[in-house]
Amino acid sequence: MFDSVLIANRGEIALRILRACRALQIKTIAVHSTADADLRHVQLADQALCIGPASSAQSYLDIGRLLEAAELTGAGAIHPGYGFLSERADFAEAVEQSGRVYIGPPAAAIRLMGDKVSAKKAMLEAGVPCVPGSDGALPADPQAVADIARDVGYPLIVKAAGGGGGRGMRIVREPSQLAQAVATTREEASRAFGNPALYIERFLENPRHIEIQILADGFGNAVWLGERDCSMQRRHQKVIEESPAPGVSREAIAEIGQRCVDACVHIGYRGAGTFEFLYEDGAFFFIEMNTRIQVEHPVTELVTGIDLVVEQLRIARGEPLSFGQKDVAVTGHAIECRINAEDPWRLTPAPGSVSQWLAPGGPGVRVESHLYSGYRVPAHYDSLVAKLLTYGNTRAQAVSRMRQALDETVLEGISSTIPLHRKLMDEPGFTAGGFNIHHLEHLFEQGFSQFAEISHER
Amino acid sequence: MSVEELAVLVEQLQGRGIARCEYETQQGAVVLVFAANAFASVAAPLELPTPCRQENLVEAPKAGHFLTTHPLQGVALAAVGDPVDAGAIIGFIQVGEALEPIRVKASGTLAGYCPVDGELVGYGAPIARLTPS
Repeated sequence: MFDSVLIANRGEIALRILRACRALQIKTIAVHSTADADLRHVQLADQALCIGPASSAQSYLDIGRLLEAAELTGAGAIHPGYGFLSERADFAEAVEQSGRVYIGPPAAAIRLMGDKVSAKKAMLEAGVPCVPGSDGALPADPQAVADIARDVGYPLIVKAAGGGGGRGMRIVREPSQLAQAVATTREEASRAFGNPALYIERFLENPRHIEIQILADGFGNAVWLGERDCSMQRRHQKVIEESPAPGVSREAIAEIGQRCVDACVHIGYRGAGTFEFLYEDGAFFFIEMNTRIQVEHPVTELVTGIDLVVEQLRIARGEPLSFGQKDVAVTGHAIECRINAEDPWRLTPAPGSVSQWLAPGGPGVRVESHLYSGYRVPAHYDSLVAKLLTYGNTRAQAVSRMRQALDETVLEGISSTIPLHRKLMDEPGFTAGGFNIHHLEHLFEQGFSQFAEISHER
Repeated sequence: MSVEELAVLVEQLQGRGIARCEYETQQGAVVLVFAANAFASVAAPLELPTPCRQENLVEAPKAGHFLTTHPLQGVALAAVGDPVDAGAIIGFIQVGEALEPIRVKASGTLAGYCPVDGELVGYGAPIARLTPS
């Protein structure tokens, strides 16, 4: 049991965690860099402490400074949020060894699922379907790799075991490209992730990205809380998420959801987590598990009515899940638009001072943001500044409310992705639903560039 | 000039038709040369950090409890009005049993401490004011 939480993160998720702590009367401690002294959650927290300069490496990614801050403030637990140290097993271990509670899964589970090779092995053991691919890490012998590739079939994708977020992977369409792709990816993986291990998988041409949210309490109880369709992506980064996934049967979701729950029990998982899948021709293929809360978690909260961050805190306090699978019902439809401080057509960072911020409102509208008029978006961190969510009884109503919410939002002083989202809300492929992960890339290729010209001339 | 300040400067200037920029602060000068095809940012111009005379202010090197004396000695390291040399220790930051000395960057006269003894301070918090020699 703990009565104070150190929030080891920044921006909207730090504010979200603070609000969840308040709901349980838990004291909040904000730690921040010199660039973030004016963040909203820093102002609202029961206690705030600057731990380092703007550089993430010397602040939000510095385990020593975070643990010292926990000691100085008497924090009973640490919430990592997403990004930064949220999927670092060594951080979870260090927190536990310091006598505090890490609000997340056991370090062993983070480590297991953080390595794509071991994760895939564990998922296959638990009966979770995976993309056909190499059985474990690729051998060093090029001929042996070529033999494995022939069995897997082309096109295929070479991936770094320690990679993620679109980094450390290469598509190979014919055998002549294989050796070079493996060599380059291995070198990149060694340099970027400190782990040269690679594996290969069949490359799916037109998949959707559908993920399952889970909660597990560490007492052998686990539930799945519906799915999120995150197929609207650019450069492997999610742009829009929604739930339920259009056109996928509830029976198919229930079946894959139950397999995820079984996998949680199999690996001894505890806390919130997400199983990410590619979905093509009616079949799910496991990609990876995110052993943390995700950016898009409010989508699930809107359709299930369950506060995932509060549940994270309860589980970390050692409480069993207060509800079972039969209590989880997905109703209505929710959509989330990620508002980034970026040029909307090039998606390049656009930090600066916000001269005016007026958030939308009304029935079925939820905003998660740390913005306020006069806030300065620093150049040092992720460009996400707000999440606009709408809920409706139907998808059409949720989309309609999102159009209105985007029209109503005032964000001046910086460029943002609001114009892109507004355009997408009327885009035929989006309004129809069920598009694949290449849809947005194709839209940019086919015509969004004209908006870039207008943006440039402005 | 810190790397962070440099990043802000580059962000401010790139893509605005500027080929060369010389920027001078009291800590030194930096010359930036931009390529002709540098990325054209559409972001609103950022405000430049205002150069300040850091040597007038001694800042906390890390977060912790501020001490004016070494716990085992109990003797004040400096008093208001004392001259202090560059590199002199005028206090400590304590975290658990570890002590980090607070050193003066440039010589001057101690004009006053900002926190009280034992107070928890954050990284970069003002610890003492110095009147330059």
